[in-house]
Amino acid sequence: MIKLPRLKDCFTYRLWRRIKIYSALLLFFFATSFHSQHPAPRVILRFLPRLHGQPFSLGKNYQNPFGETFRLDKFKFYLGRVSFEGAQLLHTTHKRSGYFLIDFSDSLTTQIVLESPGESFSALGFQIGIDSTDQVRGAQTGALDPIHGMFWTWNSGYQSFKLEGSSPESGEPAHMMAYHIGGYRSPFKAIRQLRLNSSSGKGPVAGHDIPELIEIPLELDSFFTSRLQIRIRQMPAVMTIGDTARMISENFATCFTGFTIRRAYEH
Amino acid sequence: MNTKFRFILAGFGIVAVTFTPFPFVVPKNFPPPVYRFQNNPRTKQGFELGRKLFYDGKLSRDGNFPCSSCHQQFAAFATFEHRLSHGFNNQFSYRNAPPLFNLAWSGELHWDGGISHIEVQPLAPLLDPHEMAEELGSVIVKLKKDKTYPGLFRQAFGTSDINSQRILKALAQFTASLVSADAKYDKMKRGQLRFSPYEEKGYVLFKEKCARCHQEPLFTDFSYRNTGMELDTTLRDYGRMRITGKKEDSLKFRVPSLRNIFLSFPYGHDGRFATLSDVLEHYNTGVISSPTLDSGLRKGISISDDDRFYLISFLATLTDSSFTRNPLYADPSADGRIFEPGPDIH
Repeated sequence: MIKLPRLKDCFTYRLWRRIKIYSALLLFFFATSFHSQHPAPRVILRFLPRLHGQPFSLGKNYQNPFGETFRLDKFKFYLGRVSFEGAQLLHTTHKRSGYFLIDFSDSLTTQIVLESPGESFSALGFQIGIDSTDQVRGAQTGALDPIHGMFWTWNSGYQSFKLEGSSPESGEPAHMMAYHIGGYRSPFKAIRQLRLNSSSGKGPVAGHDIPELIEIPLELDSFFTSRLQIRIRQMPAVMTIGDTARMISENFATCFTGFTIRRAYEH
Repeated sequence: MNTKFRFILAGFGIVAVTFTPFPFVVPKNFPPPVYRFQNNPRTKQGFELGRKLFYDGKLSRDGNFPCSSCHQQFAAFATFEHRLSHGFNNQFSYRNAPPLFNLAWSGELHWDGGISHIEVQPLAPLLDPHEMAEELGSVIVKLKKDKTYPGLFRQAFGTSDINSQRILKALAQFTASLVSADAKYDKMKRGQLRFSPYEEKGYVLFKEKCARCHQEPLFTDFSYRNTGMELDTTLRDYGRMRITGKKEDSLKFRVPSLRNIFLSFPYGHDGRFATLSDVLEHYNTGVISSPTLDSGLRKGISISDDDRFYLISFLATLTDSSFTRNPLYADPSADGRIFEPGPDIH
């Protein structure tokens, strides 16, 4: 009796199977490479601290609006709930959850990259500080890792922002000055919602290759003078939750006045 | 997972990790817990890592102050016989170390409720310059350098990464697991045995005079109250007001559980009462009036000498020796030995 070869052993069958596998692989690589060539359009938010209209940096002596000499060595704040507003974007359509710790001692953190809203926009919303629900979630990681020194350990909660340094006007040990501002329960809430208008018209819609750059100046003059007058001699340190901290958070919010939009690589 | 599959994974450089589920059992007479290991599923590996960390001096700056230095199992995880605990560089803690049990039901923690969540509690003693006096970054470096920890973190969390979140979640797997629910009181409630006539009489008195705040079965209502204790002028501790910033919270402290109360002496937020008898006498004659004094204590609580005898007989039924001698909660490096207070351990 003649033994017929089984279908599985047939050469053409094996070849066909092989082609199927390779083509599937090829398709996979093609799809992934196609994807990586066209990333989602991005916008970059960059924060620029200023004092008396000039760029401000850590570790350098300045005078505040009251003529008091001071320097800052630490300056950080939490940013969250970023949203874009424009005619096409009815109100705050593009929201991004998650928080960013902007730390001026680490320039990698002072500009953040977000997915573009995909439409032109003329206003920008964001929050300074951490929502009450995210304050009590237990052990967290990333921007909310307590290792960043923004978490109060004896009174659980994240500070909204922190300015720390020294001033000859301060009567504290080693002339320290420190404003550790937080609090998420009313009436001492130190979380601020901001809405800024563009000072350079509507933003262009970013192409695939060139992200839009949003520059947000932070005018530190207002930190000392806008609502509560912060004279270092009289108030060198505020490190507890309360009405003073709440007012200082309002001062801090007024440091943000607007933003400009341009193409990231145009300058 | 079958061995063949594991072998294939190993070929790809992935070390397969299996987690042994370790379900948390809620005692029958207890309400549902607040902390249910949400986002931190309890496993045998996670619990064991947390237990090892709890007993490890590496979490403190000089190596001498593990969590267990102030939270001793034989004292129901309070500091045995100390008004205030000892920390780094011969310093006293600010308050009497509370016993640790049934924390999964607690919500807020500490005498002033300053801690919002059990997972973040260890940050307080760990970073306090009077207690463990350490920094998070330094603890992480020490654990990464250690021979066993990276492997234990892999077993507990899947990879050997060590970060603050994992340390805290592992610790919470241990501390939230400390359940004390097997005292004579619980056995009586379950009908396994009966109270003596003295205990029974004390129980009746307890329900009449103490249970308004020390509610069964956890023996606390988790509220903050001013019980008329005079302000200590050296500590200047205003309790809950430090957290809320509200003057109506001045001198208020968390109502402590009375479970294992015989083991956690001395008493009060600053440990000023040496014995239970002193505490009862405070309510009888020592309550000091102030604007925030608890409304139920305006006239104190009248407790006769006889009442005191019966109440103390009842309070002794809240001692849970199966908890203080449970090898599951003991120092894993002690090979199953359970420490007892003695001349060398205090």
